[in-house]
Amino acid sequence: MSIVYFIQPYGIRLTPTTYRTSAVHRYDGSTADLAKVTANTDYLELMQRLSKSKAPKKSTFKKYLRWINKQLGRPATSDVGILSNLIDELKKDTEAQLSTTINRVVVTTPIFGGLTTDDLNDALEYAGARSWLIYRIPYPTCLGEANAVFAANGNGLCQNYKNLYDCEDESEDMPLHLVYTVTY
Amino acid sequence: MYVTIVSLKEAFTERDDRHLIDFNAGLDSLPSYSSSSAFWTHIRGQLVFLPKSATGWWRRPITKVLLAGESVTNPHFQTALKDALTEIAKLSAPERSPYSKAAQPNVTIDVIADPLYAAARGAALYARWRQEVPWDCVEPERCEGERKHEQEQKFSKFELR
Repeated sequence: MSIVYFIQPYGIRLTPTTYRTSAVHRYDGSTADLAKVTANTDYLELMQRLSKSKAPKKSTFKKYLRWINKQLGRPATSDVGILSNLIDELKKDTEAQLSTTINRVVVTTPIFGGLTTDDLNDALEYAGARSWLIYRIPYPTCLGEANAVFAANGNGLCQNYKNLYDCEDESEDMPLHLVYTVTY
Repeated sequence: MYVTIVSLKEAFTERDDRHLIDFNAGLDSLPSYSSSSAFWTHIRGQLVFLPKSATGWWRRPITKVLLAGESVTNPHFQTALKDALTEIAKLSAPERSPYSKAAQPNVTIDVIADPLYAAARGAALYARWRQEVPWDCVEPERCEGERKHEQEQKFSKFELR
């Protein structure tokens, strides 16, 4: 059972560089940088492939195959297995530091056509977590790395984020930036 | 190396971006180049590629530069980035772009958050917002007080090691 105030708001970064990282944002506004996991060869090869591919065509057969794999306790696909291994490692390291379990997270990723929200959500599910990005309206269903870094540096944030409608009004008056993000 | 250009107002929104990714541009690839100079020339070329190849609406001046990753603070990379940004600024001259209003747009390079953890921190901030703000519902003010009271009592049990 997820009890909101026990779950530290926790974010994960998955990118095609050496390290995957996690951080927590506490209710008092402070942040803590937590785990840093080195990417393995499987993950880097997966990112390389996904960066060059388009979103796979959905088919009833593939959907059924994913469902069967999940019912059998397997990752939905082999790609999901690779993602899930890394998420699980990060999750365990972070839980060890926080001395609590985590089951709701936000994962930020590069925007690759081949990296689908279905795969990401299934990878989280297999690792024993759920994403805050699964609800479509009115929230985004993915969080690109540029967006996450933009926010971490204090940009594009509503003062009154607790009121969705006030936040929308505030965003109308925010300056429009052309943002150049380099991950190296 | 992963470079993106995206137009943003509010942080937590879905936007189309243009991106470039080069898996052979990491520091561990340096030995595979003929020389260090050749490697950093390649890096500079990749850093300017997106702005240089931009067309139409994307050919606007860059106003915000963000850095992320474990090697972005490498001194040689910083030099390559500085050279690239100088070249990119020249691309934004009014005679080259109808969207430019000034020859030298005011570009800010944000490094407030540790680049290695910046993206994770941004994701964690969004997780906190989603936890605190249910959709289509505005809490009575007393709920915040109750939540803070409960957090003060509960958080004492969970301390970061």
